[in-house]
Amino acid sequence: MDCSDLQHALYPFLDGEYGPEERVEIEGHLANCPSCARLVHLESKFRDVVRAKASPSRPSGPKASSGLKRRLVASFRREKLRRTQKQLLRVSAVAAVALAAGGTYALSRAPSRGPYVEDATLRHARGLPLEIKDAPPEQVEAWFGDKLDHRVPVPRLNNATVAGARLSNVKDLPAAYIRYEASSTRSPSPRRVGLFVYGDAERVVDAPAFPSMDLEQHRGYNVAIWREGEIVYQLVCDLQEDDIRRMVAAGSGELPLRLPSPSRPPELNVQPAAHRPGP
Amino acid sequence: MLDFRQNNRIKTEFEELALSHLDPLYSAALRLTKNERDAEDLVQDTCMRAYRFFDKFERGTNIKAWLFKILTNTFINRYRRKVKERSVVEGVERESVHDQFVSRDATDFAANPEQYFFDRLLSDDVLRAIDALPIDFRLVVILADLQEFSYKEIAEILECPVGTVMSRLFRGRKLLQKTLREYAEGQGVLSKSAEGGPGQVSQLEEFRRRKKSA
Repeated sequence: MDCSDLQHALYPFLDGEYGPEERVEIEGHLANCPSCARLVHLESKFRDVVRAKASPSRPSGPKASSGLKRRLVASFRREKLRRTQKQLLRVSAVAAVALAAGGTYALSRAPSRGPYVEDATLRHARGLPLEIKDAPPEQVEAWFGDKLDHRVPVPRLNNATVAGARLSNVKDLPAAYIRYEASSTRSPSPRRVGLFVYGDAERVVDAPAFPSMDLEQHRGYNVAIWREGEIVYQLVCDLQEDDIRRMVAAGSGELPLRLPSPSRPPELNVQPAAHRPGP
Repeated sequence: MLDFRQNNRIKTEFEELALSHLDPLYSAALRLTKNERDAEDLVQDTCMRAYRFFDKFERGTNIKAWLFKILTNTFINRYRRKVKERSVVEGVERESVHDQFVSRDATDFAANPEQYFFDRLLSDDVLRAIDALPIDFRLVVILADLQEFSYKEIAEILECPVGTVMSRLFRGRKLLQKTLREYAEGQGVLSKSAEGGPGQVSQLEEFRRRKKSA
């Protein structure tokens, strides 16, 4: 090893990249060459200074803000939701294949409604914060964009305006939650109306096809439920039946509340939860 | 359905791992993008990509290195175009490592009587000098000196040979010394280079001159 070799080896040596044999060789040269020894000392000092003054772990080093952490956790949650739904769709596709193959596969449960009505009511009552606020329906639709595996139509309800939306669930199904402020003939202040929109390709939820809809009662809330194809709608509010009827009927002309004729309100089969047999 | 639950557990494990490396990721992103807003965006993009590709991560290997690989790739693909930094590495990199270990640079550095000038520099000066490095050198200096990765890890992160890591680190540190010397001169900590002899000549100029005469 000579002085020129040492120039090659200087940084890897300081960075601890060499094994014991190479180190011994370099240290042997340094012991006999004061000029190289000085250089190594100086470079080592420089390296230490850079690390001490620019190290991210120094006391004044930059830290990820709590806002960034919050946003990340929220993004993870949304991503997980999307994944879950994709997986559920895959599972249901497998089930469909099993059925088509004429195997012994049988649906493990008949369509049910009670648990979905209860879960949606609880979530609505909790009044969780909205993720998008004060936006027109088109913008809310766009916001849901690819967050859910199905398109989220935002129905235009009569005497009600969209207040905002968030991602939610109804039981294990990822759902869009749209909140409206509705005016009522009985109350001077606007009433909170929540609409859950979720994909149910497996038809596990018992909901009549629009324009029919069923009305359930749970914990003092009225819950209207209907479906359009694979998409289930659940409207939760404390309005009376005729208010709900007016609100939904007047949405005619707008998706998804298409009506056979604007003059005919949807048929409401009022079925109080208490009188229904359990799921 | 079992697979589904396991998948969720893996994702939860990833969240914890990613959040525990958030500060190093952010500080590196800050040196790369040079502003807080872009740094946060870069970290967010990095973590979401890592989250999606976590099943491709090999268990038992270095998660920090894996995250930094995604960070640098994301930066190079998405942000570098925006920043429009010109690489000076091309050309220089074609020289063999040997050529770049020019003895004059090093001995002149050692021969300077005010060799410990850098001791008096502030954190801000050092950071500013790092930020001023061309991107390819900056990346290697950040990974080696600030994040303390080994040459092998850096080679894997940047997907380049270890020899390239060594030559970039060499040039990067030399450029850093030169820039800091200029700061020190500007602040009157170090006397002007005119009296300092040949050692003060810019590394790149020196390098080019030698190349011409060779």
